[in-house]
Parts: sequence; structure tokens; C-alpha cells
Amino acid sequence: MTPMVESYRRDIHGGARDSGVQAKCTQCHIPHNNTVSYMFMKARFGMHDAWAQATYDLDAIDWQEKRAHSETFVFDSGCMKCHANLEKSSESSAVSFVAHRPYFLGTVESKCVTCHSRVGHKDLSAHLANKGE
Amino acid sequence: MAYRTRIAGLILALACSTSLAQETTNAGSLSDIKTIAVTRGLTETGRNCITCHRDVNPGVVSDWKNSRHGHVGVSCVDCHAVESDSPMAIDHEDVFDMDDYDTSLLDRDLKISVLVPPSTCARCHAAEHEQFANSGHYRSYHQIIPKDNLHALVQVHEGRNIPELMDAPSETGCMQCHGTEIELDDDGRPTPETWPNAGMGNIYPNGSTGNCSACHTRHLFSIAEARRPFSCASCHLGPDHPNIEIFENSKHGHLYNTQGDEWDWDTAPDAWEPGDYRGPTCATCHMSGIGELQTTHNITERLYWNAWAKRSEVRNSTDVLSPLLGNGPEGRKKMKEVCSSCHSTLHTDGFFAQADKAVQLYNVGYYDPAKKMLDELGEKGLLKDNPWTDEFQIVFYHLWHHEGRRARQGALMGAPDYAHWHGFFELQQDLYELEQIYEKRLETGTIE
Repeated sequence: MTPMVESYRRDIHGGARDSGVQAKCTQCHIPHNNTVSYMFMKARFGMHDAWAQATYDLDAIDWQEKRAHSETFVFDSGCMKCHANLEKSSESSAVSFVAHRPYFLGTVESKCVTCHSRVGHKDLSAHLANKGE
Repeated sequence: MAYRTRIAGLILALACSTSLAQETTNAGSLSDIKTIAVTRGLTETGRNCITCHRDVNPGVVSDWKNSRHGHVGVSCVDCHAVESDSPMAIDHEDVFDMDDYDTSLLDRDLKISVLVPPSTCARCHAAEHEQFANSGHYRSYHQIIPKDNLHALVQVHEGRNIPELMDAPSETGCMQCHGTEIELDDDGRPTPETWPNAGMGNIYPNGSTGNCSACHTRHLFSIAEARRPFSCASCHLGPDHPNIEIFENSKHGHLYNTQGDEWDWDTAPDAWEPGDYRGPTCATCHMSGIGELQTTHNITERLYWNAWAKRSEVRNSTDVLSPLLGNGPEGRKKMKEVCSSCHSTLHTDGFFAQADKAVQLYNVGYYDPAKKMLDELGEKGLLKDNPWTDEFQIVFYHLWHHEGRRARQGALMGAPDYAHWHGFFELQQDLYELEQIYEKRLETGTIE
């Protein structure tokens, strides 16, 4: 997890800004739609992590390939927990209004990370490429 | 007198050279008369791009300032800035010679790319992108990749198999409409083997497929332009799919050619209805939100047949890579909904009855018997290895790829000359020729 953590620490979501406020791993990577789902997914991901650490060849995992499916492990309900006023605040800028309107109208299947594909981890590709060095 | 003439000549020469020098200095700049000082709604970086590029690429900035993007404050960096770990990312000052420009205007942390993949457009136009990604246009380049016989045609036969020149037909032909997989050089810039191209189905270095500017050319990205039939015509023309010629041959084209200049072309999406125009263009029937229908960028959505394959079948696939992508019966219903904005049910049902009969005639009367002969000759070893020197295989190719498509598409889009003279008339000639070659080869057991 070193490349993920290092790139996260250099990102705004990892606290790399004046206020230092961080979004924690679980705030993005576990759904926040309701408590039951949150607990269930936390337990499920936790058990999978333990299983993977014990049995997988960790070096063989293609993390770049996994990033193509980031919609399955970054949850909009987590984003919206902090960005709660996005729908209203989008209206203040023509650019952001046009961009977010189909999302809030529900006319597209896109998730937050479909467009904001590099959010949360600054230069993750470079960190993944340098891993172990 | 001679002295005066010389003086006058000198003055004239000076005047000419001065005006020439001025023209040279100002050549290409469209911003001489009016300085473009745009501050409304733009970021500082966005403004800085325009400061230099209005002189460096006046055409680009001129397009942009007249575009809807210019109106709402979407500027250069909103589309051309990329994440630092993007495969397309370049540093402006590393790649471009900035000696004559104010480098303090550059944002040092900003990575840019000249390539703007559809995934970038999708950040604001998500619905349009999703529809496109489910359409036949998505397949434009993907479908070429596995076709070995097509690569052989273009590289070996057309390209004469000359290593350093053999890709010319593809680069100047196929790629410009179908697109390609864009490759980058060591500086992160697209290679001349893959760029520039205006192809519909490009695969960009970040994996995104498509090309919005194939129809909405940069940097105006005009809806009015994409509604005109010429947008489609830059690819949909010629002997194998003469769709612009078919349109012009149709009554719809008749109306467009005689009155189109008086119609409203920039009505809002989904609100562009009869009244704004008297007759439809390609976009009206295949894409526009007309009547109860929603606007779509899935140009496959309203189709019944596959009208370009060797044999036409009714569309029935959800696989975007399948030539039968779509739902034929549902597509027909939607297309009839389009027609109903101007035509009665009697007219519409009758039109499709005529057109469907033509497609079925092509299938049963031409393609099936031709294919049967081709297969039989193949089994008996009576086809040449090089199809492009084999009269039977050449005529067979023209039968489905040229004449057969003209007959089917002419019938389905109301173009009598293409259905008949360029279509069925030539088809019967093809079939008779195939029969003669077939009988001769069977009789003699040799290829002539």
C-alpha cells in the first residue's frame, strides 16, 4: 500500500493544503449510504484484505489495471458526505453547472470518479512505477 | 525628367515594400483590429493561454470566442490540461520554443496535451458520451483491428508492401475517417503515423475511444454544423456508401438543397422540430429529439437492418462490437416516430414496405446465390490466393460492398437513382458476370 499512501499524502484529499484537513481512506473507499451497508462492506473489505495479504502474490497485482474500475471501490455516497452542497454550489459556475447537471438529474451512469479519475492520490502512476525503490 | 521618374519610382518601391512588410508581420492574425481581453468567467491560466495563442493560432482563438464554450467560460485549459500522470501529459516549456514569448504566463505545475479524448468532453457531456459509446460509431476503428484481409489490401496491395511507404493509404485514407490507436513519441507528442486525423473511432493514449470533433470540428464545436448533412458527408460518401449522394437524390435532400439556407440550425437540443426546417437532414432522423423521442448520440438506436454488411440482417445485439448492434424492431418504431412528425402512417408504412422489399431482394436474389458460387469455387480450389487479381472475387466484392450497399441504402433512404441505376441495375450485371465466370471455371476446372 506504500504507493497509495504516499500519493494520498501528497494530494489535497490527503491533507496537502493549508488547512491540512484529510478525507480518511474509509471515507472514500467504503459506501456511506447507510450504517448497515457501511458496516457490512467494511467487514467484507477487511476480511478480503486479510485473505489477500495471506494468500496473494502481492507483487503480481496490476494496480494500474484496477484503476480502470475505480467506480467499484470509490463510492459516491462517500464523496457526497463532504461535498454535500455540490448540487447547489454547482449553480454558481456555468462550467460546473453544466458538468454536474446530468449527474444530479440521474440521466447518466457516471460516478464521481468516472470524471474525477485521479482524485485522492496525486501522481499515483509515478508512485506505482517507483514502488519498492 | 528622368531624375523625377527615378524619385517617383523609389517612393513607389518604398511604399510597396512597407505595405508588404506590414502584411508579413500581420499575416494570419485575426486580432489586429480588436484586442480580445476576456476576463469574464475565466481562470487566470485560461486567460494567459489566450494572451499568446490569439497571436500564435488566431484561427483557433477566433473559433473558440464564437463558440458556446467561449460563452460559458470553458477555456483552453478546461480541455487541454491533463493530470500529471496522464500518458499524454507534456510540459509546455519543454516541448514548445518559448524564446519569443512571455514565459511568466505559464503555470509551471500545469501539464497539457494537444489531444483531447472523448473522456474529457464526457466530464461535461456525460450523456452524449455514454450514448456514443453504445453506438456503431464507437466501433469505427475497433472493427478494423482484426480484419487481416483489409490490412492486406491496404498495406500489401495498395501500399505495394514497401516498408517505409506501405502505410500511406491507411494514414491518408482509412485512418482519417475510422481513426486509429494514437501513439506518442518520446516527448509525449502524437506521431505523424497516427496524427493528425479526424477519425471517429480513435483510441487515445488514455484508453478513451471516439472523437467528438469528427462531427463538431474544433474549436467551434457547433451544433448547427453537426446538423448539416455535410458533417456526415465528410465520411459517408463515395461508391461504397454514397450517403450524401443518396440524401441529395431524396426528396429530403431536394428540400434541403433548395431551402436549407432559410432554416433555423441552432435551436436548442431536443427542441429542433419541423417548422425550424421543412425537411430532415441526417441528424434529424438519426439523432434529434423529435416528437416524443429524446436526442441521442447513439446513431444505431433508430435502425432496423444492418444495411452495410455483406448480407443484411435485422439488428439484435447488445454487444457494441457486433455489426448487429441494436434492437431492429424497437429501432424501426423509433424511426417511424421520426417520420410521423411530417408523414401519415399510410405514407410511412408504405415507404418501409418498399424499402424492406428491396433489402430482402438483395439478400435472397443477389447475395445468397453469389455467396453459394463463391463457396463452391473455394471448395474446388478455383479461387486465386490474391483476391485482387481474381475477377470472380473482385466482382463479388463490388456486389456487396459497392452495388449492394447502394441498392439497400438507396432504398432505405429514398434515393431512386441509387436504388436502381447505381444499385439493382449494376447488381444484375454483377450476378450475370459471376455466373459466367463460375460456369467457365467449373467446366474447365481452371481459373481463367
